[in-house]
Amino acid sequence: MVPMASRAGVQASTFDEYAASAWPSLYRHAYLLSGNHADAEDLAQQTLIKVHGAWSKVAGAEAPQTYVRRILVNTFLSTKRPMARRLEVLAGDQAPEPVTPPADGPEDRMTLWPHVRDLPPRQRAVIVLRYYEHLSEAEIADTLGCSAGTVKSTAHRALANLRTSLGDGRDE
Amino acid sequence: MMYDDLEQTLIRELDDVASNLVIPERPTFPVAERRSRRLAVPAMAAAAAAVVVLILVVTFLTSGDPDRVEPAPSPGPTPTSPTPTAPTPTDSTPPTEATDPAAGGPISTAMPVDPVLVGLDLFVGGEQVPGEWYNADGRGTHWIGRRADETWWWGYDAEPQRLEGVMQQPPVISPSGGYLARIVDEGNGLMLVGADTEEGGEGFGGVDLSDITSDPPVRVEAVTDDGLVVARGSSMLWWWRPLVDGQTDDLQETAPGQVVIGSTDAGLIVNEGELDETDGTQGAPYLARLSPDGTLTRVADLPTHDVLEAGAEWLAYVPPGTVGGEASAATELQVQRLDGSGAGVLTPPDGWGFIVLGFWWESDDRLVARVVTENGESGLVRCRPDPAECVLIDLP
Repeated sequence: MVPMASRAGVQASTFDEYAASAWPSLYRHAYLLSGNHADAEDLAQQTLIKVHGAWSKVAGAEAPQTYVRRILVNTFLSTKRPMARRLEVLAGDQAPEPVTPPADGPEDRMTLWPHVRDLPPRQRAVIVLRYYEHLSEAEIADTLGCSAGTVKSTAHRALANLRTSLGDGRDE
Repeated sequence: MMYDDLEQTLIRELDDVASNLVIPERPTFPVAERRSRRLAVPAMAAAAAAVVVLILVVTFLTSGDPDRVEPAPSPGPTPTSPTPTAPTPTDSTPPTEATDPAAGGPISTAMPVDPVLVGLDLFVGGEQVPGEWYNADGRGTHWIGRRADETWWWGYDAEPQRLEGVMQQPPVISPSGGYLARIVDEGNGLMLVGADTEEGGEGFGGVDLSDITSDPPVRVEAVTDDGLVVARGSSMLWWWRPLVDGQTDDLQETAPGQVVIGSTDAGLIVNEGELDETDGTQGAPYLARLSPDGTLTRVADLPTHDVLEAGAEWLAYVPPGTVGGEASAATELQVQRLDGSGAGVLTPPDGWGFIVLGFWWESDDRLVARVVTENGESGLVRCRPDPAECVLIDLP
């Protein structure tokens, strides 16, 4: 996994240089969060715009990658979505029906990824941060601005939903 | 870190997806878009600059005229309150708490960040929520509220979201505002449901109450910041663990004789007694924490009360007999330290009375209360318990 930005890299570069080097990594993260190319491109671009707006802070931050990650994830979570999605009853045994993934490509042969894309945004964010970025619960909590307990419960529900989607009734 | 099979598969597939992506070319960076997104900021900066320039010009003109005689300062009280600073929420930064860092310092008169009613106007994060409102509760920018048309709404910002379904009892939000729970009448029976209050409002699932007979009807008594829900009926006192295992158990078995009658920032309010007739007006109520195993751990003794709010250090309450009758406001709020080491009385500014169902601890030692005049004018005060003082908050 390529880090979004290292402190040394940020300090040594202008914003344009940073954006060029960070774009692939940002895009990968954005794709895992949004689940499709169009939204990933929008999300990565919005993140860069915000990074540019806060460039002096990003460049001077102790951990710029943490700062950028927080912008990316919170931009993703603050994107308005259809009202019908809100307050839906979504227990572990009432996960959404699996959606047929797009045809073609290696993603078509994956077991879990299609169901990760169907998770509610916050659950998806926790899954990506935990299993792609390998962040600790405390780091995820810092990124999302919530408690470690909330991260834990959100991850629990996400995994329960994934198991239900797979037809696997086992507890964790 | 140990991973099970599903987690190992997740790690592998997420890495595969990311690794095999065809990355599009980076779009040209639209600097103009960034500049146009926050017109308010440059406008405010320009306004501030204009004020600075004006002050400099006045100062220059004043100091530059040797014949000019400085007028004596007008008599009056020395200002003790800082200039109010309204929170300016953005899409990525939560509003800053508007309380004062120094316990003994001046009391801020800035609008609270927490959801607050002023008359029929609801403010969340300093922004007004559309509509006319009768009730509101919550913390930070997470809230629930009842509109004048009797519909219930919730939000994680100033945009209201409708709480669908028929409810005979009001919903309840956790002290920190992270979760809500309510009882919905589905036509063929009642269902206890809950959700978090983040965007997406992910539901907890539900508990079927259709077999429960209760008079008065079952209501949600408390939702904890851990997402535990306590529901009380005339013959049942359940606690539901939607974020743990989704199961319910009877608190009458794990805490016999104890009745949960409310919740505060510092824990649940509990009293001994019968399920259908216990409140805080008599007996020996106490503050307790509920563990996932159903244990109630006593935190502090509480005075008998009509309404009580406990924060991290202090509690505030109105004594039994204050609510009801023709009284619509209280002339004072009792305060005492949780550990019993201090007590006092808060009084509102002259001409104002406390609305007895409208106060909460904004921080460890700052209380915000809704106040009203005899003429029906609405206001807000911010109080500190020691030394006791309340000041009116500047309304938008």
